[in-house]
Amino acid sequence: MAAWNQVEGGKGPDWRRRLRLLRRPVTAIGLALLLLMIVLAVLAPVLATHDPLAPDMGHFLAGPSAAHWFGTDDLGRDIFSRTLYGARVSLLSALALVMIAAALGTLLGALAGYLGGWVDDLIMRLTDMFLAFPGLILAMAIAATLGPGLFHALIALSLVWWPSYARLVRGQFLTLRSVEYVEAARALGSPTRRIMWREILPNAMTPLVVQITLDLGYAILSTSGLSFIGLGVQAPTPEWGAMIAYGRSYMMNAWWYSTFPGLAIFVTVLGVNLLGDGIRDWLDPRHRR
Amino acid sequence: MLGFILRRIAYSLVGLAGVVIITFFLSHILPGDPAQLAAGGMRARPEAVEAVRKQMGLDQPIPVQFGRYLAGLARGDLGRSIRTKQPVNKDLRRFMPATVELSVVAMLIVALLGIPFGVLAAVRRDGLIDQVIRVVSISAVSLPVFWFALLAQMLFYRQLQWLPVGNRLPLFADAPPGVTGLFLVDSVLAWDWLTFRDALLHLTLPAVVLATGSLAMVTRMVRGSVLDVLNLDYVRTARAKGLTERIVIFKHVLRNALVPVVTMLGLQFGTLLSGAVLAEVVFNWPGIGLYAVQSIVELDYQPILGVTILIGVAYVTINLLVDILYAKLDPRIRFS
Repeated sequence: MAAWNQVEGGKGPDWRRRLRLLRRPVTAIGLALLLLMIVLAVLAPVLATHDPLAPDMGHFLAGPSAAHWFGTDDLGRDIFSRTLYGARVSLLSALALVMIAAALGTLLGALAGYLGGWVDDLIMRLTDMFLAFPGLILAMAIAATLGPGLFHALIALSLVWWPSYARLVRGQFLTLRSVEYVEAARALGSPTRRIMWREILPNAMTPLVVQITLDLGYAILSTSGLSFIGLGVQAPTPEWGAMIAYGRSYMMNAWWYSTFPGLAIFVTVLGVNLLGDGIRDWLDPRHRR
Repeated sequence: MLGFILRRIAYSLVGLAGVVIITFFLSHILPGDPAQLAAGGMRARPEAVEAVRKQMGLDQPIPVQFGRYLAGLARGDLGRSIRTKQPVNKDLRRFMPATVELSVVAMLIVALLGIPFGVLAAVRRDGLIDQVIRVVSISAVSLPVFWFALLAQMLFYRQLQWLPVGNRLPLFADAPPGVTGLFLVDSVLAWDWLTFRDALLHLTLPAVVLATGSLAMVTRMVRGSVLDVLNLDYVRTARAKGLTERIVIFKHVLRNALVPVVTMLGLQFGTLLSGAVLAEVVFNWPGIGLYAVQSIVELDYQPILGVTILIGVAYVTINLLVDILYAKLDPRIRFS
């Protein structure tokens, strides 16, 4: 925790320190890759060369060509266009996942850290219970219970992810609940709710936001993993994990089918991870050295 | 030490309670209706669903259901698979060895390569080797394991034809006489080197693919751990005494830096098991992961729950053992 606080107390204008983050080429490449994927996702309708859902029986399983840059799938749909649209699904669902999990974790972590006592015990034992499973396995079981579908998959993964955020936020609240300005607010008679959300939370945000950034890559891998085993996005919606799963059957004679959607996942996650790695080093002098 | 172990066991019991309570919630309380599924899905007649519900005891009050659920678990009763028509615990016993063999070999790869790579990166900090290891490991953790598995198959099986894929042995080959169910061990025990070679060849690709992500993580963590120790005063003292760098690293630094690695390896086991589910699907590796996913496809619920419970229990147990080992290696832990 000390490392985060050092940054808060750092000298010089904020933006200059932020720019320094990008001085390392690897971090800049990470940001560039992520921005590229975001732009591709936003502009998918403009950039797509074909309708991602339109079958073309005359050209099924055609290899990459000038007409179909990434080839076509078993229904003759254009894989390039589907991969573009898949970026929307993957990026949005990863973002939704970390947001829901972080919101739930923040609420419970804040209550545990600020109130302490039995509330703390109860919530922390609850996180222990969830942490008794490898995350993806539990998410798989929950998603299977709820039934296939993107929404259910996101609920399942959020249920598995909130404990790590709860622990992080709890730690912040434990530290911050006894700092002077919080004591002052309490002495002035501010209601508990106001102290928690207006006084403490804004100051506990930095590590939370960093953690969310670091987790985004894993969120993309997890949602596409659930889709790959049939629990996430359902046909015909283009989604990277699901596309790889369908392409698997044609792996031996249509390599492009699974390869390109997978490449999209890899590039996106790599971008997020390079950026996250840079942020972590930048914040934690221990790793910078 | 005994006090520490007892406290740690109590903590594991919370984890086990989590496994039991969460899976009970999943199977009895969440909106998905197991009776509907068991009666034949959405098209089942309401009377049939009602009958199945009664038969499964789902019409009883929640505490009664929970009591029955606990009693069932205590007997090792995990229900019956609709797909294989076998009791789930029997299926699990059949598929478990394949998963154990795959994940243990992957874990060995992770430990045997991750530690030297991490130490090397730390010792040559910011040098070329460190940079290469850094880029490669960030790339490796960014790979979706199921896609990486497909690429590996296309390259080593289809293109180069170096390695076989699918299953644990060639088609029509007999499994070695089952002592442990681990083909590598069983074939050695039976002195059957041909089968050993086949089993090893079939295992290579899945194990390497599965190990890659964790290997990258462990390498990074070992690097960090070694760097932490390198900055400590006693290392400076050792250098000041005029010891060679080799002796400083091997005799003084590693002994302390590698202690936390034990915990890292334990935690990676969870990641590895999650990855194993996906890798088993791609490599058609007949373990509990493939069993679970095939059950998902057919909406066969009990096996999924059984696999979840089994992996939960295994994960809790391994973390318990790792923590005890950690405390044994580092006296500061057990006295704090």
